[in-house]
Amino acid sequence: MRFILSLCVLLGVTFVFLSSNSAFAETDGIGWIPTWKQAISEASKAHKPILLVAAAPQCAGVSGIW
Amino acid sequence: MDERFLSKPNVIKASRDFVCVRMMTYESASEAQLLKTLWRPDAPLENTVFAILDPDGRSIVRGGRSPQMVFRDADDMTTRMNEIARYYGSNGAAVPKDLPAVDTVRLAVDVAACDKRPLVIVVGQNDQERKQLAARLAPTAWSEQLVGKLVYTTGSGTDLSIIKNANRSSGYIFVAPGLFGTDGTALMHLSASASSNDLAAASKQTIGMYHPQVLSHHDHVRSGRQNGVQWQSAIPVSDPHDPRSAGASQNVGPHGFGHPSGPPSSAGRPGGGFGGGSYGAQYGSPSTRRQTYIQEYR
Repeated sequence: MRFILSLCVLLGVTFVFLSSNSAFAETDGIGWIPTWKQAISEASKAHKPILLVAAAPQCAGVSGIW
Repeated sequence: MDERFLSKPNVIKASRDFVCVRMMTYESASEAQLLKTLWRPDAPLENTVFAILDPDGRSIVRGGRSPQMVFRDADDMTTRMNEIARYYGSNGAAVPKDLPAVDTVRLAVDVAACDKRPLVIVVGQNDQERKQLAARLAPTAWSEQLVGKLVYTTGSGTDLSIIKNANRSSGYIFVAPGLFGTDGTALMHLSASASSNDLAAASKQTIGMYHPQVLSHHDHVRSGRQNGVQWQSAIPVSDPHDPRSAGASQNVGPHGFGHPSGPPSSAGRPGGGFGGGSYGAQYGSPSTRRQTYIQEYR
């Protein structure tokens, strides 16, 4: 009985975890252009102001995190 | 990335009236030159830079390390962005025409991992084919339902060594990046003859299939070190908070080295800037150096 209860809790936690992570990927985001060359070209053509961010795609040499 | 600002729905909505560029610091020498002109031009380039520019690339809100250094909160940022958009008559109707493609597959996998977003790789045997395939994907990438939800790049079959299960023939590969952005796994493939509808459906399906592992900043860096992850940037890291920088300080914040939260927002709101009756950035009118750079890049 205890085993089944533990299994249910584990499955529930896993489901919540996967659901929340999937939801993360589905959330809206800013449509980033990744290069200055393309951005300044688009801004000139569309006469839109530019929101500029730069960030290193690594922290202390470890990639996969801003 | 400062998610307290840039992931807020009101900021995302306001961003549709802007051309939004996010450059990868230390991954391009030429872009590093431009970034240095935007904030503290005489200091070493730090990990993160933030600025708002006019359509010609001139500062209209002074630069900083992050939005936190410029705006009180996300609502303040939204208000200022909406003011600026109104001034330029900008509306979301005009969307970019080109695919927002990261320069290389290697860098794109890392960026996708950082964003916790899936990646689409356009595979072509030559430049011309890649451009044709990218042009077909671009309207889907900028569509209202998908904008900002995936990362894109282009490459040839020989660029796919870090992608597991990748089909090297021409077409589109939908990829789940690994935790540290050093590899990825192909989830789906579409052939070079895929239609716009096929591309939209596969994009949505990939988003649904992708379940990224999320660690805290501290745990991610610790785990990366334990696993021997060592990212080599294109140019040397110069952030004084980074231990690899020649001018590194020993100040390690709660988020680790060089986190974009930066120092407390003692600067508060900018004294000048847009909406305050002056376009003056922190360093006055745009520098000759920046103007020269922008002209060279056109």
